[in-house]
Amino acid sequence: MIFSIILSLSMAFAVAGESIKCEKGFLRMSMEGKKIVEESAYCFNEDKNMLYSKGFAMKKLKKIKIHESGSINPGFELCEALKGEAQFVEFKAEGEWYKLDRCLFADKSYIDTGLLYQKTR
Amino acid sequence: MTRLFTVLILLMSGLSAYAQSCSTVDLRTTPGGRALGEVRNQGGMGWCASFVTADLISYRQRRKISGLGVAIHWTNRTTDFETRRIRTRQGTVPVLERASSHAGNVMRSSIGRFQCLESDLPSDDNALNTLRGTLERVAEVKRQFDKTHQCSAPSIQTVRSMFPRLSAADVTHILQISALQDVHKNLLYRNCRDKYVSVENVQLSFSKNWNNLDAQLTRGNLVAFGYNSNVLKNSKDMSAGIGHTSTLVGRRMRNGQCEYLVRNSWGRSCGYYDKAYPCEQGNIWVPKGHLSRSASDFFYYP
Repeated sequence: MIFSIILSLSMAFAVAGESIKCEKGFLRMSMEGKKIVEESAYCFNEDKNMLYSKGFAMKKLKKIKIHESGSINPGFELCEALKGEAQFVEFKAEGEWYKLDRCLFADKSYIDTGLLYQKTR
Repeated sequence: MTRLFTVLILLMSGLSAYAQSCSTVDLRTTPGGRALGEVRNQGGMGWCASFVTADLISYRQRRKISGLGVAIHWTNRTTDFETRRIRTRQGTVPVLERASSHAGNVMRSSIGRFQCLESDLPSDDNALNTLRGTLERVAEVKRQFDKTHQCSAPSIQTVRSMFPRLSAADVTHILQISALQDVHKNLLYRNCRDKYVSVENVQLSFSKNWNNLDAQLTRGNLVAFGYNSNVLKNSKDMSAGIGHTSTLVGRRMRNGQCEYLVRNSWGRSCGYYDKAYPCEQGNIWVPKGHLSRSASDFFYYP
């Protein structure tokens, strides 16, 4: 806890009208029935429905067109097309856990699939 | 002068009737709506109809039902998990059902059966491959068991990652007594054995009448609908279709037009949706004019 507070890199700035906060926190996910908690530095918005790893190379995302089934979550389809691994994940912000998902890339950077979809359209 | 007066009266009464049919409704604040909780995330599985069915039952029963449980009930054979796939440019993607065209069948299949609670059978609680891999791995565990008659600790763990209430003895027992095509269902029955929700004595109604939909919302009934999800992503694309299924959980008048609150099943993100639509944690306000063109049919438990 103290470690987390000391290392907290909290900062707020505005991206496309969204108030974004970046800090060092925790991710939680189920792997083969076991809950795994890992430390990570990430950024999220006020509504806690946007998430990406701190330093994520947003500018490197390019427009991409994929075939969308219309039923499956299109962000998961997109993540797969970009050779990422889509995962359900929870992140901790202001003492609460928030359920979301992420597209995890080989370099360990990640972004929630909704934001990924938005940035690549 | 008299004619103008008559036209004005007719116009005003028409507007008044429109405003009445678009009275404010927010089912999220009802006891059933609170049981639904935050929007579901179907991830990489094409099981929107199962999630919608789970929502309809949850709303009625006021307890959150597992979307995964509904999907397993609907799928007749274990091998369906592996063979029923859709082809995309990137390869093939497994689907559990063909979305909304089968949504009515999924819903009908839920009646007269028991359903698991979401807390006992989580639908979006497995980071690895978002469940679809687990479904296939469970079938693989069964195949291995049939060959070796043994079940290793990792195999048991694989099964329990999907069916968390099972003991190792439960898993071994189910693998012993089940044929491959029944293994998921039998694991599900065992997993939820003493805590299921019975879905009985309900009639499902279908309609293509928008007035009927409005009446159901006014009565506080959750309404499911089949539609082309392109309209959510691009407000200019109002082509009709039946590729997707969601529920309607609200209605309001805004800027002179009636809007409906679509509860989608792609998680809480608003990044998928056209910015013209106000979005609240994965619930999207879509104008009636857009929805009425892209929707195909409605269904509900009256």
